[in-house]
Amino acid sequence: MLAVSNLNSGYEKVHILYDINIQCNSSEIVSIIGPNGSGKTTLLKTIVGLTNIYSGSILFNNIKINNIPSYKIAKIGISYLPQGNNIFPSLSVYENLRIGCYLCNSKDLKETINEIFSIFPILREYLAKKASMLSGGERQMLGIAMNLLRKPKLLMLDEPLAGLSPLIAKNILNKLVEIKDKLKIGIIIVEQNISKVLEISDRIYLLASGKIVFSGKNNELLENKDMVKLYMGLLSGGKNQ
Amino acid sequence: MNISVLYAAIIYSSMLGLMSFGVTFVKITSNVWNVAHTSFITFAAYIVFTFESFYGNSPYLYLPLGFIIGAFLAIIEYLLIIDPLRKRGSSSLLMLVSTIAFLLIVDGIIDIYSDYLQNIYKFPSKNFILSYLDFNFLGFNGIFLFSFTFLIIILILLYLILTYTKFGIALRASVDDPILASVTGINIKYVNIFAWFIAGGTAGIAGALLPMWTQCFPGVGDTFLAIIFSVSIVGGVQQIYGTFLGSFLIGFIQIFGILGLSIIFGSSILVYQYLIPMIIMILVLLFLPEGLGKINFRKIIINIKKRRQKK
Amino acid sequence: MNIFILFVVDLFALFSVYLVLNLALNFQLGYGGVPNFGLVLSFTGGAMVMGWLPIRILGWLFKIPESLMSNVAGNSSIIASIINTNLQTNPLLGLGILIITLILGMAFGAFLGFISSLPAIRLKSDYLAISLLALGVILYYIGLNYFPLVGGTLGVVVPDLYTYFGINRYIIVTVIFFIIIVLLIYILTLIVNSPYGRVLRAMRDNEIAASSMGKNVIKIRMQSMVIGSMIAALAGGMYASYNAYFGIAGYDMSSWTFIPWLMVLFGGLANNYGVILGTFIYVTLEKLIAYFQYNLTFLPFNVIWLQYILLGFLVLIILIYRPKGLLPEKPSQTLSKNKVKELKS
Repeated sequence: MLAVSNLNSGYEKVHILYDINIQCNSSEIVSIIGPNGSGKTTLLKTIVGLTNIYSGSILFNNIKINNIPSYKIAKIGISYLPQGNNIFPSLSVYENLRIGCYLCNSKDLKETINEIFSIFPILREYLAKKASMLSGGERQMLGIAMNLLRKPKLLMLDEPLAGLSPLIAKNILNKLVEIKDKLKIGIIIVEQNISKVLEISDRIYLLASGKIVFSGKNNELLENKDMVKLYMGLLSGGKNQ
Repeated sequence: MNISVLYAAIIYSSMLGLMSFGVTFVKITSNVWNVAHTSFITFAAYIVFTFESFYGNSPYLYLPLGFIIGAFLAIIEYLLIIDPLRKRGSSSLLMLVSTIAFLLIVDGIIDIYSDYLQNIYKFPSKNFILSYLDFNFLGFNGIFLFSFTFLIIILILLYLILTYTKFGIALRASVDDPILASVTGINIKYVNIFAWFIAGGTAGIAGALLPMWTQCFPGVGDTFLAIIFSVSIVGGVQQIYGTFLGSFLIGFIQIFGILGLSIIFGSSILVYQYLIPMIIMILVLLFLPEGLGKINFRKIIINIKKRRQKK
Repeated sequence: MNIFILFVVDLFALFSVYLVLNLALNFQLGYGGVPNFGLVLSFTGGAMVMGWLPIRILGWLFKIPESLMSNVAGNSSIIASIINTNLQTNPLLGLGILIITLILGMAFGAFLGFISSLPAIRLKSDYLAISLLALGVILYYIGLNYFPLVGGTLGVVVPDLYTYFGINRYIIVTVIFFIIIVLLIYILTLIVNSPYGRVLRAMRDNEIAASSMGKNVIKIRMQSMVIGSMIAALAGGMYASYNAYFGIAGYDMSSWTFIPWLMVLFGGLANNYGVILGTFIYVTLEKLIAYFQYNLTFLPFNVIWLQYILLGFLVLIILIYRPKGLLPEKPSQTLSKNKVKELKS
């Protein structure tokens, strides 16, 4: 579904990513892990058109989406949850959801939003609340909900579990698997800490200094002694960091 | 309270609000202080004067034309100058300078046009006022009715659009976080075009009303530049409705303030009334840099209620 | 006097005034990083001193009767012509008063610069620019409405301090202005290439880094405003003395803030040679258009408006295609060429 080939990108003249090759298919969860500053966020931003692409191609369902503006990329079915600023703080929860469903059919609007409440029931209680008043975990949920409303074909999440308690994080991860199976979408998760997403990932890419240093299934990573040594800190759940 | 002073204050504040709204709106959505805004006001005034001179009738008839020309100029400025510069990553200061360049161009065109009207058609286009054509309805001047009514209409329309329409919510989202908005599928360019359209249109309305209120000449809009910016800053550029607050605050303080001062210091002080907006602006910048719009009135009211309950 | 020479001399006078003003702006904006949209304030201040002071000092010196001096602003043209007659026999007095007034004008400019720098304590970038713009008109309003100061809308005549030289007045003006320009550029170049200049630029480019190195960013910003305003006031004094007239109505924001901004950005920010080039191109265009407007009388409008439109377009083109201006900023030469050679080998 998504095929990134020989991608080189960065911000203006600052070259961040070198010859990246990545794939994500439907009903698949792909994790991109790596240390701080390795370019994981840049990779997602590049796919949605927020950086400068120097060379290479990004194919989505065999259509090249290299220089398409971000709002069009959202229209063709790629959904992106940024790290940090992932909701609109001055809008209410309802309005956030409304924007999440910006591209929805207006007839399906109510139905679609009700579906989301089945996944995140707590949002129903906070509808009129201003999004800036939500706790970290609630914001993440709202952000993910906004992405799901779009019924994307590809869902990209940048550190979706940051700042969440282990219980809620586990909850969300289970929901992601559920969504993957139910809606048959592809999911790309960027995480600094592999231990959280190891279980649910079908494939893993390890990114370091802007290059892919490993790609394969999750068990392959753990069996690779060199990788484990180099990125021990990431694999051990951050105990050494 | 002297009714005629209140009357004048309302007209003044309404005109200020109509003139200043567009500047703040564009700043909020596109992060640009559009200095050329004042030239739209002047242009609209000249459009009304032209039609009035050729075809007669009440100048209020030509108000829609003022709106159209203001909106048109604003959109041209956005599409040909602001958007290309933004794509190149220009700083907000550079974009400010580009609006000054556009101001000079539009002002130059107005100057040429007024020369042309004067020399060829002998219309008094270098200095005119049309207030003698105003009407009176139940004791109220046309200018009072129109300026205040339009202000209220725009305020209400804006509120309705921003709160109840999908596009309006999208606009507020774009103001909050333009990047997040675009990955959500919102076309920021359209949002901006809409903002400039409204901003230019309101400037056009203000300009169309101007000849009924004050003496007009080439560059008349520019004489309000400093006051408009004072209103924008006092109103604050975080909240879209702040300008309306700011314009009435400044308008009333100026009119009533100078009146009060003239009682103490004599009528010679009246001419300095235009310094008052500047002074208010300075005070606001010192003590309330985010302007009035940021004040959470709800919180204040809740706090007052709480204190009353404690007693 | 040859018309052509008059044209060149007049062009040079205007060029000098604009150049000094633009250099002031370049110092504040290009080196200090302060977007001074209130430039007209100090320019007007310096010109006002020229409009206020000489006529009163010389009026007192030449014992002009009280009946005239009680209303200086109203009787300015009579008073000035009496003064001019007396000055014709006294070369040093005219020039002496000129220099003293220019210096006092610069002092007033420094004061205005200090006032203008206060918003810079809290505000940044375009917010600061807008506030300075609003501040800039204050003097305009006061001058326009308080008649005794500088004659309100009518203005006041300024004694012609160059009058001793009769027909050669314009040559003398050219010489004096030329000396001022050369001195100014020399001093500015020294400042810019000095450690202080480097601090200015460091602060302009990265405030946080500069302040972390112990440089008091706010104080330095205020200094750049004060120095720049002094230079702007100098330009104002030059202008009013050349015209031998001061009319506040002519000291509008457009001519004396916006146009200098456009000239500086057009020529090249933070590059004094760029500023010279930009100023020269604009002033020449302006004077050429004014000169030839007599040939273009078939046009139903004043050709002067075309120059504003032209400048607007030029600046837009520059902003889009060459945002750094015609001559962009060059790295400062803090070491002499010989030292650099030494280090290389």
